[in-house]
Amino acid sequence: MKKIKTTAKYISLLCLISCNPETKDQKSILVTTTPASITGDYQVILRPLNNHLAGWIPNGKSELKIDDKTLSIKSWIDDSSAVTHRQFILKGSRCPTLEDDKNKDGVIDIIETVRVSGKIILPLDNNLQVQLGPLDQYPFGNFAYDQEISLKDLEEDLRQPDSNPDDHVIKLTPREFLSFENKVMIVLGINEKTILPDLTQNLDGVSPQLSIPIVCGLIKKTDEL
Amino acid sequence: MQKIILFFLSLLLTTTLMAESFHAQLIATERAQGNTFLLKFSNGRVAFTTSPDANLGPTTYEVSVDEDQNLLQLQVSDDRPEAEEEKNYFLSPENTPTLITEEEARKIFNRLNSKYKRSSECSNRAHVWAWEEFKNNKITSEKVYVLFTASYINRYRFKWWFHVAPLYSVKKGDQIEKWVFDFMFNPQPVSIKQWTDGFVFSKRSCRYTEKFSEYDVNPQTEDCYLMIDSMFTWNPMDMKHQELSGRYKTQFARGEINFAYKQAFQ
Repeated sequence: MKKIKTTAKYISLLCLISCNPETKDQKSILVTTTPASITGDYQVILRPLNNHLAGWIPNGKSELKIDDKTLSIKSWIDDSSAVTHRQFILKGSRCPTLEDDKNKDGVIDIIETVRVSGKIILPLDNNLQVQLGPLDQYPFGNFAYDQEISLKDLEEDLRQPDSNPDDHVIKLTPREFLSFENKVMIVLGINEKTILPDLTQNLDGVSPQLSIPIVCGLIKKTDEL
Repeated sequence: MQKIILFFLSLLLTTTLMAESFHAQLIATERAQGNTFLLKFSNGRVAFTTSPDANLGPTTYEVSVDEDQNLLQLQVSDDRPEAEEEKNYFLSPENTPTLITEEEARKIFNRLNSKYKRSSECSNRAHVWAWEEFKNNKITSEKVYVLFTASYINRYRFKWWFHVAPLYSVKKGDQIEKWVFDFMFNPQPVSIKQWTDGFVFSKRSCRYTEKFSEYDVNPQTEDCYLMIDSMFTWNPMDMKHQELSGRYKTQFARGEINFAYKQAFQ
């Protein structure tokens, strides 16, 4: 089955290269993998969101290193909630503020966040090779996270067809380069006992509490800080 | 039987995972509510206990607390700052902050040292941020302290009894505004009220005071107190000392700066 999928992937890649009626220059963009300009060190200052719900002032930091072949991510979060923390890189370039609380329930929920910070491009679980894994692959409580992935594997996965275009997870578009600079990183999850307003929206299959964003930050190249 | 053992093992593991430890000097012990006592430490952290040891003194301890700030363990530690330099204390409280423009404010904020460590203490981050801007650009700032009352700490099981950040005086048209530069928690400079709203979940305004003693013996009707002092102060104990002695810090103390770098930055 895996072989069939791999074959289909290469056929679709070949199709992108040969069947696309774009100009020669545009074709070269389609087959170009990660440009050298994305290599370097990045930092994310993860600052609190919805801290009146978290019962604490969650905060953290993330460091991304990209060389020719590998993306490595090291993060830490200080937070009192003994829950699983989903964490994502989103496609947008702005963290939400209270002004983005469109339903005025006092909570910036995940749907309001995705509206301003973009859809999920990379879930930061313990298996970066697959875009969406089960819940138990995310870190728990106060955590330190350390993962590495080959850029080739990551890009191959992100160039697969989007199996569910209606959800909040997206793939790279054919003309889009893989890049992380100025993208948003968020971490979700507050105590399951926290009572939330009825209007609070959640991710499919995840409780409203575990869908609450608790920190957010922009990925910045360290030499630009 | 195996299931029961596994349940207790996982319970033990969860408790251990959520325990936090820190080194700090005990500053004060006060009754929070009923038989519960609040221990306040020099790094701003708190711990709740129902059995405070009568022998506890102003010593540095290794402290372990659970997720509700209940004291799990308290052991005497040797980790402490170098002795403060007495020559840096003067009778004058003079400290005139530099007036900066909005553009300068944004530049200063963006060049604040971001290499702080996990679990760094706010007083050490604020001290290094103020020191680096003063040393590199001759800009004098102030410090703003929010001091939480025992009733607030107990109500929210809040982790800290104080928090501090650098405060800059920004010229905006004909007005001078005070902006807080708390790089770890805010993505840009914010007003004092916006800053305290991030920590005071009731969103009540903090009562401004110039005397630490007003906070120290407060009737627990407020959620928090606010103090503004010179950039040379390191933590609220400096303000207590100033009030008692009538002598003020007018220079950075090298030992405190070294300690702050070591504790808070890479």
